[in-house]
Amino acid sequence: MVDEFTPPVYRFCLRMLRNDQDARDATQDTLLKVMRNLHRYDARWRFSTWVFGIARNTCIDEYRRRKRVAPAPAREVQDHRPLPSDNVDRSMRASRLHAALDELPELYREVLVLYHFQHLKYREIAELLDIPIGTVMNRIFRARKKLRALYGEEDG
Amino acid sequence: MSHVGDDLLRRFVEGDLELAAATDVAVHLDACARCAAQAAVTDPLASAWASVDDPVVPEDLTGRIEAAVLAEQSQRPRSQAPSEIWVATGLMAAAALLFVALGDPLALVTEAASASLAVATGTTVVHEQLQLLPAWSIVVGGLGLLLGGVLGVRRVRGLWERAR
Repeated sequence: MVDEFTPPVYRFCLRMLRNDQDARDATQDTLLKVMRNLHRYDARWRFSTWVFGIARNTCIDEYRRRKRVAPAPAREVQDHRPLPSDNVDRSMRASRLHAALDELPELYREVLVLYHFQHLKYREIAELLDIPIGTVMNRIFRARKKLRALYGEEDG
Repeated sequence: MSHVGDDLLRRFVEGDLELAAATDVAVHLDACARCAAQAAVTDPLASAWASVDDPVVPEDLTGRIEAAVLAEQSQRPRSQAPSEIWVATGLMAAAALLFVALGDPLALVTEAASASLAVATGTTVVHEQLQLLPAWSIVVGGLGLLLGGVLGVRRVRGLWERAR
């Protein structure tokens, strides 16, 4: 279970918290909570949706802790892979997208991360956030419009 | 399965559909890989989304978490198992002691067996040793045995499920 879920949970936490050390801690907290609460898992849900729900709550707790103790830290997401010269354009697009995502309110960034990076279905996002699918669509539409505007600004 | 037309898909991706229609399209995309793929390439930011690689997962993270999980699991049985096991053992031992103190335990066991046989065969047997015990001791001892047995079985079942 730890082998299977550590990578996707870490990636989700990193994209939500934008800090490597916080993402590591949140991933460990999430998987420990999963192990402690296995008896509460409801088989009507997909297991991965349940795990991401716990990861999301852990990230929300971390947001709250940050608000209490200090302002949000600067972005520390690092990609350690080498950067071939023919990949510069691709890398710049990725940086611009990250910069635009960083400007979005948490509520909007969350749904985009879940859909585009974690590859959850719309229905699964609704289950995870415990909201109607119509509300998910509303959030995603607003988030995409705002993101496109921010990405365009980055372009200019 | 019918598919979503290009124009409807473009309006969906750009957020120009009414919410009810958008929800219908979303439900379809959840079930239709072909339309979901088409929606992904229709997105004006498709090339930007595609340019983002998955972050590299730190090599030591899985090992660190496995160690934390193992540490927690090894602590949990130590803190929980003794209480139930000792309560179960204590209750059963107390019940046994009560019967030993008040009567001849070997005769009691023999009589209990013969009583069961008598019920099965429909015969009548006189249980002298059982009749010698005060009623309260049979009730208290019986409850002790019952509770001890239930706790013991529950604990063993819990350990079995955890081992699986």
